[in-house]
Amino acid sequence: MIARVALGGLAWLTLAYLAFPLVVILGASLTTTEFLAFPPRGLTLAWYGRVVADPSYVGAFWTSTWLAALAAASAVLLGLPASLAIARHDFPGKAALAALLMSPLLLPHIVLGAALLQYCVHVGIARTPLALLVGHTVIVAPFVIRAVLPLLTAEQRALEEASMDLGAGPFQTFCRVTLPLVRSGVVSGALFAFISSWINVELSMFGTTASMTTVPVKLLNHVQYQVDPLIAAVSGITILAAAAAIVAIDVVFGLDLLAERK
Amino acid sequence: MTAPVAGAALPLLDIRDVAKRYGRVAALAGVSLEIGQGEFVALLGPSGCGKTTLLRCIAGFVAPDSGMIAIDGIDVTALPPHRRPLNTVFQNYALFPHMTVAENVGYGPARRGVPRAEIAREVDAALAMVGLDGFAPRRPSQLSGGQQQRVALARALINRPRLLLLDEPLGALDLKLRKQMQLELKRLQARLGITFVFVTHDQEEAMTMADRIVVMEGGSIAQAGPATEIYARPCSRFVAGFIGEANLLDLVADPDGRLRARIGGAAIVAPLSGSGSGVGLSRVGMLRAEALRPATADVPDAVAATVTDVVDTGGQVLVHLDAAGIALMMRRLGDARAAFAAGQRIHVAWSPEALHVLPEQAG
Amino acid sequence: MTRLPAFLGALRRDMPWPLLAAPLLFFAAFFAFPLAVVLVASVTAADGGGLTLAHYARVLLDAYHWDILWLTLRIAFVTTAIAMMLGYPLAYYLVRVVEARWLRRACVVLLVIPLFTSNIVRSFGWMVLLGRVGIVNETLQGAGLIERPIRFLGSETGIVIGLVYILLPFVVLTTGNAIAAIDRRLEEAASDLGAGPAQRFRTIVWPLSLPGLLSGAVIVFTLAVSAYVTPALLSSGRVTVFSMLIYQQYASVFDFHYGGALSVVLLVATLLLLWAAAAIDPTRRRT
Ligand SMILES: Nc1ncnc2c1ncn2[C@@H]1O[C@H](COP(=O)(O)OP(=O)(O)O)[C@@H](O)[C@H]1O
Ligand SMILES: [Mg+2]
Repeated sequence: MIARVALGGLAWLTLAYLAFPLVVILGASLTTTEFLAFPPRGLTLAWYGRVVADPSYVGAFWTSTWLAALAAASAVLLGLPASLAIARHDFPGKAALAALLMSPLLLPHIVLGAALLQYCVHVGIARTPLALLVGHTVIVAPFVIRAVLPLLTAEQRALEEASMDLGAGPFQTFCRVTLPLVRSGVVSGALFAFISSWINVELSMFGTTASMTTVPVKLLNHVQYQVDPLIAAVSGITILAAAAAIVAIDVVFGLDLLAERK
Repeated sequence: MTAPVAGAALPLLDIRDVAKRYGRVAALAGVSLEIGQGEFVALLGPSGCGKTTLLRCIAGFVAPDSGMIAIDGIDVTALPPHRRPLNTVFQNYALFPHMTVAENVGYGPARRGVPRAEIAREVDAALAMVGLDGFAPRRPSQLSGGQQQRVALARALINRPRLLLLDEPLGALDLKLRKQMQLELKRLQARLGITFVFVTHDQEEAMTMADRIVVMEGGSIAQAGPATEIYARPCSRFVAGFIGEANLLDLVADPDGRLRARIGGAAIVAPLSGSGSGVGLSRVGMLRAEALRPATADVPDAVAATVTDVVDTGGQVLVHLDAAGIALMMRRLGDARAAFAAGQRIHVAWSPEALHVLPEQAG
Repeated sequence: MTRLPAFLGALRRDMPWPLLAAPLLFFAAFFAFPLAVVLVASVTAADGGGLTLAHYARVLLDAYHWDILWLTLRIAFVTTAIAMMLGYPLAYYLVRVVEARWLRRACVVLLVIPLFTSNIVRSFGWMVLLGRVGIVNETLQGAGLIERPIRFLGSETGIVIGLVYILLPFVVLTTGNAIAAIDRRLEEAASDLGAGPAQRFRTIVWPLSLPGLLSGAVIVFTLAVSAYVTPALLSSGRVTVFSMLIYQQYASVFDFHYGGALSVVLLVATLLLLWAAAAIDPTRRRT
């Protein structure tokens, strides 16, 4: 009984620890003062107004968004065929290939970012949108593979064979059987890819310029020389966007990740 | 402990008015049952009738809403499972996947603080008892279904429980292995003298193994008794139909006070039942399939029937008949296969004593 | 040697090239090749000359680098340990104690929101909280627990607080998954065999959830070793971790050779530790 109460107490303290900084940021973004204050003194949305009026922040939001969208799309275009090859074919070096494609999840992003910077300098595309995009694609592609691969099961293989048996060609089979069955994996993988790209700093900071920068990198630069409620407002926008995205995912997919399997 | 005296002794397990509801479902609707020391009891019934729930109440995993459970005269209703002097062989064995066979089997003794060397000895003995010598270092995932079943058995029996509960322990095995395990379990039980409460939905399994069968229906006990008695004198349509092939006939009392079954032109007389009979009284009579025999038309009370189907079950044939709209089944030995063909018109008869009249309330 | 052509034939025939061509080319061009470039740069002389191990010598023979590597590893270890200690009870609580589905879902949402929010934003929250006049110091002072504000920012403690916060959800999710997958009947079997609640936890739940906890710990450790943003923001320039050295070389000093050697050292250290973790994994199946 005592153990149970202690466990509950510790759990709720930990949850509070997780929620607290987010609450502080949201609170501080509403202050009427020129400096950060929590609890906020007075309540105003003026700082949000300033963000929206600041073209450099609006530009950064735009860059982050198209970058994440393109990276997620490229990740699907690369990750889906790779998953099919791994799940449906036996070939020498398959395990090594799978390890290669998943390794960006494990390797330090700062090393990848540095490597890509150096490489792109060689090839002459350093600090171009293309360089940013390929880097982001490499680090988010594993999310798609990880989400799709478990869905390509042996039972599903039987469905594909049934489709072929009923006269559908390989392409028709892919469109009508395979794709619908892995759709949820593609969607959730792409979603993770999009978000991972959107929030990335360690890779982006090697690829951005003053005129083409993502929101996290811009925040990093801003925070390092000045801390004001404007940053809190920008952060607040990203937190609210993340919360909205997750609640949407929860409604659509049911995020009961920790429910016991019966 | 003195040896239990038959009859007079305290029952080993005493279940009184145990009830358990899940929402609107009454999984157990007031069950009372006494089980004696050394008995082999089968809980038999269709899926969903509450067998598992009753077993889990006994083991302590489910707290009954009302009622009492006593073991050896001690009320254990409120005791947690790990304090009850019994062990369970689970439906899917529930072997610990992260432990070896030896660690699984030695789990109980280790909890009681038995010294290591002693545990090792007991584990070896338990594994030898179930025929698994040499399997100690394996993982459950490296065993076949039958071997896992034996490990589960050894893991329970090593604790020498007063009472062993088994929830469809043979359900996942193929038929041949199941038959073999049935005999082995029966022998083991006889040798160890441990009380077994065995859940099954397979009537043949229950008949093969148990001293006493408890037939359950919808959360209640429909009938309890020795296999032969339940087979010969079921107390309801449900029990009659659940065990063996039963022909059920509607009986009506004639003005002379005798119960008769009317089949086509014939009116077969049933033996007089003890309870009061009057004109218009209606009852149900049960006739086992093996009680029917082919007859000629001149045999008194012979019934004309058409063969609708002949099912050869190997060694025996089950002949399905249509007697003036009433479906009957007749069981014959396999060499009679050639004697029947669908569409054939035959006569069948049975001796009046073979007809068992179900008790009144069963109608 | 006659087998080689056969092997190549098998390669050609069995490889699903239409599916693999694009991903393989892309990963070769933008992942393997750049890493190779770093590796090559780390072993070539700055003036474009031949092979040299001078850059590695510069990294490995300098006590300063070892200090920083040790500090980085220490921060990562402490972060991992605390994340495990906080994450396990929370995971257990959410899976086994919380009964209301909506509440567990709400908690999962709360766990996942930080994962969907940039490191910068999350670390920034701690900058506000842990500053000299931040709410933590004000609260501690107000409660009379301390007289002068504690310097969190610019200390290892601050970095650990920030990293634990950022990485904790990984432990909770992997561990929670493992606990959720444990068949309750195993615990029933244990209690049937005489195990009380504490023994059931020790002999069943703990060993079966350990792989989840360890895989979470591996994620936390690798991310903590290579973290840049959180230490950069919460160190106030007073504490240097290994990733900052790399960043300096690539972003301001432009010494790709020396930077390459630093990158390879961090990479190798990470891989070695991952390999060691896999090797000592007590849950590995013996066969
Ligand atoms: N945990 C439970 N929650 C809800 N209903 C249950 C639960 N356990 C059993 N029941 C219900 O109780 C009835 C009896 O179940 P059970 O004892 O498992 O039957 P049996 O073992 O005879 O197949 C069934 O209707 C079943 O659906
Ligand atoms: Mg059952």
